[in-house]
Amino acid sequence: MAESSLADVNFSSKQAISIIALEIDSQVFYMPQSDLMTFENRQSLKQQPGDEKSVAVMEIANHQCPVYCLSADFELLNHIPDKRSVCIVTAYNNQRLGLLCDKIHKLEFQQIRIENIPVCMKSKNTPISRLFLYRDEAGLVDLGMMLRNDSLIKYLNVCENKVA
Amino acid sequence: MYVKTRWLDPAEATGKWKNKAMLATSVIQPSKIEEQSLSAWVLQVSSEQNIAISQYEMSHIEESPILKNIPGAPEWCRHVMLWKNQIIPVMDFTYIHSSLDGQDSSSNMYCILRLFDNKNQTTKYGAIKILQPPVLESVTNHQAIDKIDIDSGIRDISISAFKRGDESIVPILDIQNLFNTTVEI
Repeated sequence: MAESSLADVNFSSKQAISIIALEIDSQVFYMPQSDLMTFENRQSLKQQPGDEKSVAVMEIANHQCPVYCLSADFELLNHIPDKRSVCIVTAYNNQRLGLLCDKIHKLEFQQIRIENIPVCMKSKNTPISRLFLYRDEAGLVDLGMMLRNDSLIKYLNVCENKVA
Repeated sequence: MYVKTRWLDPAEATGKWKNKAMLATSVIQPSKIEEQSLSAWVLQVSSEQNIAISQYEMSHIEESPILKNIPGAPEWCRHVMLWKNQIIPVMDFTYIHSSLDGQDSSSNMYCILRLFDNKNQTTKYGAIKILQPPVLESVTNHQAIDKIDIDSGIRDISISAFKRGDESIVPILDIQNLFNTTVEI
């Protein structure tokens, strides 16, 4: 949704910010690089039995952490679609987990303005807690959805506790 | 009852809207004016529902803006638009009106509303999807009706309501609360 006439956006950041773009079913979400612990290829995961809400586990520093697979609408999937090729690992409050994505790539944003999601849009059905404006490489302003480690882990904890 | 119909101020309208605004200001219906009347914009938000907002809460009309879907957000407020450098939530009342469940959603017209934040002395904006261009009506005290008569799906987000000449009930929306409240279902 790039807009070409937004030269006067009040960007709050003065320094470049490293963001990881996470692609899931053609939908792109953005995670600050500081929220990303590591990432692994799908092949390095150990698949879970079908009755678990996580689809796989991976070992990090001698600890096994669950790996989840979400649709672009944030519905928990109990299988791994073929195109999910990479697993990002994030952590919050001593909890680590993995999320499978189709692709990831790193971006450097020179100008960015982060805002909380509007109050009327908050929902327990989405881990998106922040939206942001950024200027892309062509100088156009666009809007992105930010996935932070805290809201993603809280969301997946809620999913995990839901009765199937 | 005096019902005056006019569009947005032609000076504020742009493009296609400018012509419509100029045209509409010339067709104000002459009628008897009652005292103690206030102006309200009436918005058709679904085939079955009109709602009203204060004259001063209306900011702008946008046709075919680019919307961004926020996955997992409530279905009646699943999109945002970028307008004047601001991220604006967009409400679709065809999802609030339980019998419609998202039908009537083919319109691409949106009212941009002013949301006054008295605490921070700032103005924010929200948008409502509408099916027809809004109409400015004069409303008198005699038209006021009991809130209990408002459709239950809209009652909790309304301040009060009035009855039009055709006996239809138009809730006056509490848009400040509507856009500043999280509703979990």
